[in-house]
Amino acid sequence: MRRSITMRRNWTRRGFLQTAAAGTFAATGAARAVAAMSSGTRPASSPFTARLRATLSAAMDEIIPASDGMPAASDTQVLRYLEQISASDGGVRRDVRRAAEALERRCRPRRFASLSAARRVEVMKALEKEEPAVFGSFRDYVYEGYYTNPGIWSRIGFEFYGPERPGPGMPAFDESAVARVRTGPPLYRKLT
Amino acid sequence: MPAEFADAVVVGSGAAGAALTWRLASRGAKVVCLEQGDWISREALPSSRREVETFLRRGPSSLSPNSRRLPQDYPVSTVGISPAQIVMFNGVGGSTIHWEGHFPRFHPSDFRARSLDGVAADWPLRYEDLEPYYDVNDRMMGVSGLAGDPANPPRAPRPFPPLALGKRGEAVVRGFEKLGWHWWPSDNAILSRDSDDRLGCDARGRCNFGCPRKAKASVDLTYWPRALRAGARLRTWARVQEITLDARGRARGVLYHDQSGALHEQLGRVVIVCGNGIGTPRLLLNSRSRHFPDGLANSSGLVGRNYMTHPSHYVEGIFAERLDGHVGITSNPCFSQEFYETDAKRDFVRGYSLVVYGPFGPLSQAWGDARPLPWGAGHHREMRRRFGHTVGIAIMGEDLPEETNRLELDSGRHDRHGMPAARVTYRFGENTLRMLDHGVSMARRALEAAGAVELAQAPGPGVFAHLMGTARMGSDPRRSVVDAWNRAHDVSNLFLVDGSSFVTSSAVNPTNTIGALALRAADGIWERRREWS
Repeated sequence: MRRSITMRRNWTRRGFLQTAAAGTFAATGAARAVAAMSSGTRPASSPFTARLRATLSAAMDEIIPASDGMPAASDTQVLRYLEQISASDGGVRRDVRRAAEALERRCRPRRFASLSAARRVEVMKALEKEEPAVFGSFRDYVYEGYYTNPGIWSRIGFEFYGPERPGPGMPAFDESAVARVRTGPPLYRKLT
Repeated sequence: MPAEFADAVVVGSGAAGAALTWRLASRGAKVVCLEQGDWISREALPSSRREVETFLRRGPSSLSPNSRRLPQDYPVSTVGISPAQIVMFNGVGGSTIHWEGHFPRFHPSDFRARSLDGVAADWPLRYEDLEPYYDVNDRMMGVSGLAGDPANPPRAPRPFPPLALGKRGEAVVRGFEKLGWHWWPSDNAILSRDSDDRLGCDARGRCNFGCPRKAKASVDLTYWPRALRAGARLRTWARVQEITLDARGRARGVLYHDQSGALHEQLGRVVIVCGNGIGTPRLLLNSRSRHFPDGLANSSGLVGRNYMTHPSHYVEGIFAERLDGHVGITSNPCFSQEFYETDAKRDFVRGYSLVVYGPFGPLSQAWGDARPLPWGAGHHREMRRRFGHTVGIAIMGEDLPEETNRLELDSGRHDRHGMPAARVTYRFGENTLRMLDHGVSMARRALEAAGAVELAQAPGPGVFAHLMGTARMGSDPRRSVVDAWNRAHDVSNLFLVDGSSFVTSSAVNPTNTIGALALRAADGIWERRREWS
C-alpha cells in the first residue's frame, strides 16, 4: 500500500473541522503567511487601472471568499497573479478586462466594488448565466492564482514534489490482485 | 549543396524517427535525421514549477502548439462540427517529451475491422507481423507491466515489474472486481526500478511535464543515445519544407531551413517521413510538383484524409475516503477492456477501453475535468470534499476512419519559414457517439460499484489527441497511400512511418504501435537496400 500523504501532512478531516470552527480567515496572521508564500513579483507597471484593479479584487473575493478557515483570493496575491499573467499574455489580459468591464456594465451607474456582497453575487450570477465564457475564463484565472500558491497547498493537504525532494515512493504491485482476472477466458478475438 | 549523401534521410525525431534511425544505423546504414526543434534538457521541463498545472491550458510549456507558439511550432487550426483538440511536441523526442507513457498494444482484431465487423478497412499486415517489434520496442523503452492479461494475446515477460495501482487504482479495481469485469495493470513506459542512468518512478506525478528521475521514457533518453552511438547524425533546428524529386519522380532528398532560415538540401537514397498524423501529410501536401500536382504520393487523394483520434468521455466519482488520485503516475495504472471487442448485442461496432485517471492537482480539481468547483460561499467546503477524494474513468473509444475528417494546408496561416499551416476538420461519427454513451453508462456502473458517493461526468465528448490515419496503409494504391512496409505507392524510395499510416485507430494509445511499425519498416528498408543503391 502506498503511504498516505494525508497523514504525513497532518491534514485530517477532524483537523479541517477544527480549523473551520475558527471562523473567517481573512486578515489573520495565517492569511499573511499564505500571501507571503506567493513568490510572484509585481510587474513594474500594472496592466490594469486602479479602478479595474478594484473591480477585479472585489469580484475575485466573491469567487473565493474568506470562509471555512481559508483565506480570500485577494489575501493570497491573486490580484498580483492576474497582473503578472496579463502582462505576459495578451489573451489573458483581454479575458480579464472583458470580465471586469462586463461586471461594471451590469451595475451602472454604481461601481461594482461599491456594491454590497449580496448584490455583487447577483451581478456575477447574471454574468455567469448570460455570458458563461466571459465569466468562466475569469473564474478559472482566479482559481489559477489561488491554487498555484504553495501556501494554499499546505492547507488542503497537497504535497508538491519538486526536484529537491523524493516522491512518496512506488510500492510493489501485489499480483494476487489479478487472481480472478488471470484465470478468466481470453477476451480478445483469436484470428487464424 | 550538402557535403554528405545519406543512405536514409529521416524527417522527425519522435517515437517513429528515433526507433527507425536506431534500427537502420545499428545495421550500418548512414542515416541523417532532421528535427525542426532542439534537444530538451530535463531542467527546462516545467514539472517542478509551481505553475505547472497552468500549462495544461496555455503558456510556453503547453501541450498544444497553438498555445506554445515556439519557433519550432506551427499552428494547427481545427474546424468542423466537433473540432479536435491538437496536442503535439516539436523537438528531439517529439511528443514522447509530453506523453504520459501508456504503452498498450493493438488487438489482433484491430487489424481486421473490415473482415470482422464490416467497417473501416483491413490492414495489410497482422498482429503477428508486429509482435516481435512490439517486444523490441518494450525492451528499448523500458516497459513496466505484467504478462498474462486475458484481454490480449500472450506476451513476453515485461522488462520491469508493474507499477503500483495506488489508492486511485485500488478504488476502481474494487468496482471492476465487484462487477466481475476484466481489468489489468497497464503497460507503461515508466521504470518501476532503476536502470542504467534512469531511476525508478517515485510516484511524484506530473509525468507529462518532465520526469526529473528520467523514469518516464521518452525517445531522446532511450533510442537516441544508442542511435548516435551507432553513427546516426541528428540535425536539430532543421525544418523540412519539401521533399525533392529527381527527373524520374523518385525522392532525391529534402529541402530544409536551418535555424537562421537558410535553405539547404539533404540528399539520400531513401527519404523517410516520421512527422506523425499532422506533420507527415502537411509535408506531402506542401511537396507539389509537375509529377504530383495534388501533393506528393497522393494519387489516391487520401493524403490528409481519414484523420482519426481517440474519442473520449469522462466520469468522475467522489469517494468518502481520501484517495489522493493526483499521487502516482499521471497515466493510468490499470484499465479495463471488458468492452473492447465488437458485441452484436450493442448498438455500435468496435469498442473502447476504460482507463483510470485522477486529477492532476488542486488547480485541475478546481477547474474540473467533469465539472468546475462551485464559486462563492460553498467553495472551500466543496474543495475539501473533492480534493483527494475523486477518481475518474476515461472512455477511450475507437475512431472509425471517415474521409471527411481530414487535414489540409491552411494557406492563410504559416510557420516562421513561410510554410502553410495545417487545418483539421473533424466531427464525431454516429457510431462513436453511441459507443461513448455506452462507455459513460459502464464507467458510472464501475464507479458506483467501487463505492463512489457521487458521480459527475464531463459536459460532452472530448478526445485523446492522438494523430492517426492521414496517409494510410493498404494493398490497393487507389485506396491507400503506403504499402504494408510503409513505402509510398507512388514513390518507390519514399516511406511514411508514423501514426499517419494507421488504417484503424484501435481503442488504445498509439505510441507502441508507431514504434513497432517503425522498427519493422527499418528492417524492410534494410533488406531491400540493394534497390536503393
